[in-house]
Amino acid sequence: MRALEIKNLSISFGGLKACQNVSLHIDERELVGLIGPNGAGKTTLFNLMTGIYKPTEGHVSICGIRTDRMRPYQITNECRAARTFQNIRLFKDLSVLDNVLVSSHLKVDYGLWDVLFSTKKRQDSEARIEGEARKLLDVFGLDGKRDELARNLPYGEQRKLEIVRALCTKPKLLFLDEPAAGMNDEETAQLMKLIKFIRDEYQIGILVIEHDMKFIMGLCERIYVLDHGQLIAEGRPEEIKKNPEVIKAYLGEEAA
Amino acid sequence: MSQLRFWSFQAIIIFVLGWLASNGLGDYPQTILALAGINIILAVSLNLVNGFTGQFSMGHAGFMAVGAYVGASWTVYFMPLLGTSWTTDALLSQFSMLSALIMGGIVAGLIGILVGIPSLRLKGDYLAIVTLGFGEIIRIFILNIESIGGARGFTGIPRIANMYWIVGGVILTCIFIFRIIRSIPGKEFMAVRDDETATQAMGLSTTRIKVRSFVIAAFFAGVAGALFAHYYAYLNPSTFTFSYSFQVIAMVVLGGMGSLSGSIAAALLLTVLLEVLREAQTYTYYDFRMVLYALILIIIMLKRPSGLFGRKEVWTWFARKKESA
Repeated sequence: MRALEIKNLSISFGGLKACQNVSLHIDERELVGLIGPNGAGKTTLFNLMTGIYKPTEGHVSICGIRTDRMRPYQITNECRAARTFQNIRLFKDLSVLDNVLVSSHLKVDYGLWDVLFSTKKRQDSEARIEGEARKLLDVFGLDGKRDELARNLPYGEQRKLEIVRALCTKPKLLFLDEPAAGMNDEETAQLMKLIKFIRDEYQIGILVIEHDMKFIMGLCERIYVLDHGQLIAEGRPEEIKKNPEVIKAYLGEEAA
Repeated sequence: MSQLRFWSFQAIIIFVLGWLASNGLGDYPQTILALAGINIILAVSLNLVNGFTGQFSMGHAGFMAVGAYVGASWTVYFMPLLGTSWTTDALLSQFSMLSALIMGGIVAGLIGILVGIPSLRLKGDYLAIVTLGFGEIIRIFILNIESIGGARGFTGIPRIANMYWIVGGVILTCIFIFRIIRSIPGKEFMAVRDDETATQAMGLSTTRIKVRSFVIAAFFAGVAGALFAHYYAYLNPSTFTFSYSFQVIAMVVLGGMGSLSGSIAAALLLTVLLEVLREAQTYTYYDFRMVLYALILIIIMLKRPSGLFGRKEVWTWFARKKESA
């Protein structure tokens, strides 16, 4: 079963066709990139996959479940797909640990009664969930900062925390929206290692949207190129590099 | 075992404070203290919606009215069906009081679901206007029911609430709300406040979280209403107007959106302040009360824009003191 399958997906806003007839797929445990020049429709496609927009035509299925009529939270819960955001969206006034705890909500097995009377069930359950969350934070080197407010973390760690938070929903498919935006070369190199580590450690499919060519070429196993709402190329990084259509889209007619 | 110890400790506190309040104070200060207690319950519960969940509700007095009238009707019309001793006997009437509190809270909570589901899809100003409207609808509705007094007011409510009930209500409300916001599902309220889109992306239904917070707040407002009804033994729809909702909002904002101890302090401060200003008025010819009240609010908000306590709690401040010492 494929982690993600999109068939003939189209969406139009009034007369503007933001995505036309896009078909793509991600296999289990595959690391796939999605690139394209500005305004190519990458973010629109991303929003279609995560349920923020409803497609005009075609369908999306994640882990074999059709998602194009689901709400965003249902997609995360029922299809096990998590995402990060281009402009970091952490719970800024919660601590690092609380950010991760909020996304551990599926592990909560106690009810209102247990909360009000602070029963043993609640205490045990919270201790267990907190332990698991701290273990996860520890893997990413954030456990030492668990009591700090998310807004006070340095930029790179905020990005990292956003990924950890997404991982805490136990996804089988992870969407990363421009994870390297605003990072310097050294941070980008670390992030590449981190994403590969996540794929190997948690055995999940990952889709990365990115502008940074070097980043995506070094990271992904397969790349899709989007331009004017249509897929213009698909293939391994070295194939994409040589593809005349792609060069044309990025550098213009002359260069090709 | 520690549960038993905790609750017996609370029971002792309630008993001691209740005893002090009913025997150590004159009638007038006691009435004010009771009102302050009811206001604390209202402010702390409203803080859950306005402070912790980041939704602006302006209809809290409406839910209080539901609790007050339902609780009063319960003891006036239903309990006597079981025998008149249920409202006159010293011990039995305490059971009526408890059941009236629970009924008032539950019905207010149910109305909270009805109001919350359609209106919590709205944001910001729109939500504020809709909740304001619903609060007024509830009041006008009550105004037109003859059997609970209509515009003349509801009389003949047995005076069965005392300072023990008020102190108990305040302490239980604070414990429950505090435990709710400290639990993992309780952190979801603050997640919605900080970022709704991200909350959804974590697999949480933001509407459900908002309705949940709204209903919990409505429940405690209902409890406060039932206490109010049985302490003052008289209800009038004109008590539960928009201006009461606004007073509670003032307490929440003044104490700090997202600080329970702030709400407690502000509720005490503002209730007492209004009464002290009433006293002061006897020395001046004009009614300066509301002018001074507004002026004090403006000064505090200018000096401390995020409220007296911000998002901090008193006990965290003490804990830090201890650490640095």
